Amino acid sequence: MKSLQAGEKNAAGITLAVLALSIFVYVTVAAQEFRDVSRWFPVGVSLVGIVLCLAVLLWELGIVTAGKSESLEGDATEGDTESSMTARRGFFTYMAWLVALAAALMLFGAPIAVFAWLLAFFRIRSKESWIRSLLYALAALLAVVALAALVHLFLPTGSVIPSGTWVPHVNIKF
Amino acid sequence: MTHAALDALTQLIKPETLMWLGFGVLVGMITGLLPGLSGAAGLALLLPLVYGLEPAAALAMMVGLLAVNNTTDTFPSVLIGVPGSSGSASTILDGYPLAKKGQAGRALGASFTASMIGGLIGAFALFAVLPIARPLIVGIGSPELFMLTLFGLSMVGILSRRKSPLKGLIVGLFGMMFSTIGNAPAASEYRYSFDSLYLAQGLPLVVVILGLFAIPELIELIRSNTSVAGGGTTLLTSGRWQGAKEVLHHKWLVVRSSIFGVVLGAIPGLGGSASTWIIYGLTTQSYKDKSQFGRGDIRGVIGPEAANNSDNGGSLMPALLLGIPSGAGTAVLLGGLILVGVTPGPILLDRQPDLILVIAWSLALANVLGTAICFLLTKQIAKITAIRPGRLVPFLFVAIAISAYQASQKPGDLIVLLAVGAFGWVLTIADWPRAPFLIGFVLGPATEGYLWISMSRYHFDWLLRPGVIALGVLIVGVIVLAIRSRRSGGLGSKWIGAGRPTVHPQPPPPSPAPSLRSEVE
Repeated sequence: MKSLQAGEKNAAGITLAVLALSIFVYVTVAAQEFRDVSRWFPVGVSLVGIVLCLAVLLWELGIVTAGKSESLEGDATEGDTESSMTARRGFFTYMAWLVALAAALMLFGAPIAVFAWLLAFFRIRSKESWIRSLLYALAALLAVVALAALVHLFLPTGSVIPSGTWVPHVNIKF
Repeated sequence: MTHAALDALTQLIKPETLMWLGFGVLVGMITGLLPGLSGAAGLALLLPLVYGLEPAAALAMMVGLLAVNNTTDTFPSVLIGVPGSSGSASTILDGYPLAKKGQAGRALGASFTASMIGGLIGAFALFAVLPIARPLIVGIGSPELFMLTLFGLSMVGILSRRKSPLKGLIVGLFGMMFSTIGNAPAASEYRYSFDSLYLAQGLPLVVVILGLFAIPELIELIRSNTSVAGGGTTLLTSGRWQGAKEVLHHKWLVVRSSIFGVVLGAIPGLGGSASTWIIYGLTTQSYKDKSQFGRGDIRGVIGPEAANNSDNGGSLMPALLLGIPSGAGTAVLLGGLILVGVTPGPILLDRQPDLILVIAWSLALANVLGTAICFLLTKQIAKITAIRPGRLVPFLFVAIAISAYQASQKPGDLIVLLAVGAFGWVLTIADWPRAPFLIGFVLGPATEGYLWISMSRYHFDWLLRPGVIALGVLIVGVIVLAIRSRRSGGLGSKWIGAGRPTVHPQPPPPSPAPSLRSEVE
């Protein structure tokens, strides 16, 4: 992954440190409900985490306010910025596809979801021909069903159309 | 002893027993190839078959499966950056960058050879320590085990020494914190489960690994639209023997990693994934020239791969001699032993020591057989790296989703997979290391458990035990080494790792694909 421009990297670092700090603080507060033996470990870990997050935050903020970020040192170029924006856009696009796959698996079960999702992906994103897309999706479907039947893979069953329950399990006898 | 060993070998080389050994090897290779399927899953699949088998044949089959599972799990780790199992996650750090340079064959050749030698050393160790293993294993108490987990955690500093030890520590602590989700080890209560039954069981390791490493890598691979090997496909399969030769060149690394693998494998909770991370850290630390680690250094493949196969020999020691499983795989194996009428533990050592020797031989033979098959298949399987991402990655997305679902067969597996994937990507773009998260996540429960037992049993007296002091000195030494290796910048930049451009000693690999190379920085 092309590294982000230095200024962006600092900003991402600050965001991450703030997020981590908030979670560590939440963990410490929420742990007060637990019994002593269950509390001390997460609290101990979080307290160290809080101190380290503050140190990183102070450092990163110090760099930003002092104007010493890498971007001002002339390290990055406009092309880098474009790359990082493209990377970000690409990530969200493919994450959306993955969310669709997960949702389809949960709603329609593995056989329907795998076939439909792969067909759509190959046709729309990979720009494959209809015939290739169909062949690839069919091959994947057969592989998934065969594996599930032979090695007893657990397939998501699906809540709306439970296609995962249609897959037979084969008992190998010797 | 030699006579007993030869007797055991005679039991093993019967055609029927060898056939079952071969069958176990075959199933182990398939489960190793499929990301998310562990040796335990493969063994569970074989359990129904052990009824009615001779104990030697059943043992040969089960051990054959366990032995090669960690050999073939390297294929997905090196070729596509997706860990075949938790034990091969650390192999990605250098194996995958090598594949991106078009040197997949070299990485695989080195990996298989190191795995075979590690497996043979593990088998020999199982054979050699039979007379002394029991007192050794019993002699290690919870305080020493706690210190060993701390030793593993100190690797966080090493793995993130170039990028930022502080950021690495925060990510490591994050991993430890996430490992506390679910059932508390010392009391009957759930932590941070938000009344969710799924979270009450804790986050499954395999889902976390797939999310953290596979999702960001695959998304970047398909986005870049360049095959893993880039243009360098000519070296794809031609480097197998070069890789094997390099293992012999680094023979002491193999021997050292294998011995550490045996020792760590023998300790419940530290085998498998945790031991390979520790060995990776030790490997990077034991050379002066560390510049290429994480960018495709063959030594970063050899060390962990030798360890994760020798680990099998170590993990079988407490399982067979004390009846204590050191992981899920050995737990299922013990179940299989009981099914064929063999009682693991001291009784086995007293009444049927020949069976332990059969296991040691099976381990050795399976490793040789598995390596030979892997070498034969490398040429075909390595071609995966030349496939256009638009065709390869969609299949992998589906495989990862279904693999993740095997963890607990609940929709939560898919949600956690996506959430951890997004988290892994954010870490990557912010230039924070990802590997420490996994180390914290793997070692967190063991650290908490051993510390709790030590405190409740010894209060603070355990701090004065010789083993604890020795391990404490070792940990301090590792931290000092990590600090000294960052002596090139200012104090702040040394520890925070910001405000200074990353300087690559040589041009980055010819691929715009994501940089796991920076994991060690």
